[in-house]
Amino acid sequence: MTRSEITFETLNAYVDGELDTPTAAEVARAVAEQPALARQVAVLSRLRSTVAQSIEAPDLTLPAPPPPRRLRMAIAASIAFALFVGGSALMATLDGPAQRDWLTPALRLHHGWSVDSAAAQQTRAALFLARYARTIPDAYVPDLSAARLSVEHVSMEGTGRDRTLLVGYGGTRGCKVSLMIFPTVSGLSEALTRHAAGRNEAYAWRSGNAGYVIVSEGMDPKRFRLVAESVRRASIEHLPVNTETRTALRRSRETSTPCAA
Amino acid sequence: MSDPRGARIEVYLKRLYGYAFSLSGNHHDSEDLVHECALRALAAGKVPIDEPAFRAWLFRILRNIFLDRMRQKKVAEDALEPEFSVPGTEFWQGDNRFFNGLTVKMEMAKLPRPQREIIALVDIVGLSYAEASRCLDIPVGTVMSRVSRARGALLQAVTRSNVQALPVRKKNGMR
Repeated sequence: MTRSEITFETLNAYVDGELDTPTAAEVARAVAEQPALARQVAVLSRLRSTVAQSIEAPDLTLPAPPPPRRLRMAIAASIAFALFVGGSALMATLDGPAQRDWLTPALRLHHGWSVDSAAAQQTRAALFLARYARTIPDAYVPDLSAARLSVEHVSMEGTGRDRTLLVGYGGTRGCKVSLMIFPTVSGLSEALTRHAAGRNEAYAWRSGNAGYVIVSEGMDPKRFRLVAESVRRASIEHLPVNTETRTALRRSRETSTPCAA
Repeated sequence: MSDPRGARIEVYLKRLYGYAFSLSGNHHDSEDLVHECALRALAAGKVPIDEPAFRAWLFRILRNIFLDRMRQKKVAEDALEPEFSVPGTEFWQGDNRFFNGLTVKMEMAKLPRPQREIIALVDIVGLSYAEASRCLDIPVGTVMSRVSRARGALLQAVTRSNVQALPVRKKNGMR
């Protein structure tokens, strides 16, 4: 086999050990006889090993395995059944009139930004957050990066006493969470109150002079509960979530199924 | 680890990261891709028994997650379609001395994603051409051609690069 018969492609396959035995033997013979080919083989071998060593992977651990498929389906079915049977009763018993007043517009606000992702990307969230957060007394917007939720949207809805700071968090697995902070506190207690309507789930509470509502659609209920509790605690303490909570948020992400939102 | 499937996946975590990095280009997304890939592999109903098929299956899962995310972000669908304009099939005439880890790493990061991907699958992950063809769903001959062109492009880029390791003067008694 002469140099003109051996292509660069063949030499690559030779270096990778991908040629059949007779062809590999012919190439080996040609390489032994022709220094120019030997140099190409040396270059490719060196490139190969340099590339192989170019990535420094961090220490990675395997996430906790999700529940078996059958169990997941059973859990999903039981949640769906509970919402179907008890949904309207839940709304009627848990929701006072004042609370029902905010649930519908809260869901509308949530869908407004979470569905229109193109608009969300255009929002210069951090800039608006700094400007708006000060306009509502006692408002505190927590960092939820431990839960892999980052701020994707910030807007001020309404004016005067009806104004609401809307902060939209987006996850890497399709989760969308809306946090609404407003100065009106009537009808809200300091305790976390859960509301569910179909696939939408919401928690509301009051902290100081600010009312908070957090809404999500399709997020794992346990995970969403933990997120809501973390935000509530942060809103009361006006402090970032502590290390313990950050760990819990991270773990909840590892053990929950991705959002269906 | 007591879970046998988990143990099979764990062996590939670092290589999955290397492949993820070649696709995403950043540490945060790479970790996330590996995490998601491991979760899906753990939850999958059927798993290939023989190791080469298992390996190709695992890396294909990661690739599909990446493609799904690209679509979610509305990035152009052809992000992973090969568009090799560099000849890459001629013998390389450059200088061997340009070769160092830093130069190769920097120039590889600048390559188009499809070229980074094929180099990563073969050189970093260590897939055979047959396994890479299963992962990418293309014929083995196409893998062979892509590897050659991608390496050719990387060699040309390394040659053009003016980044070289600084000479180190060693004194007696110093390492």
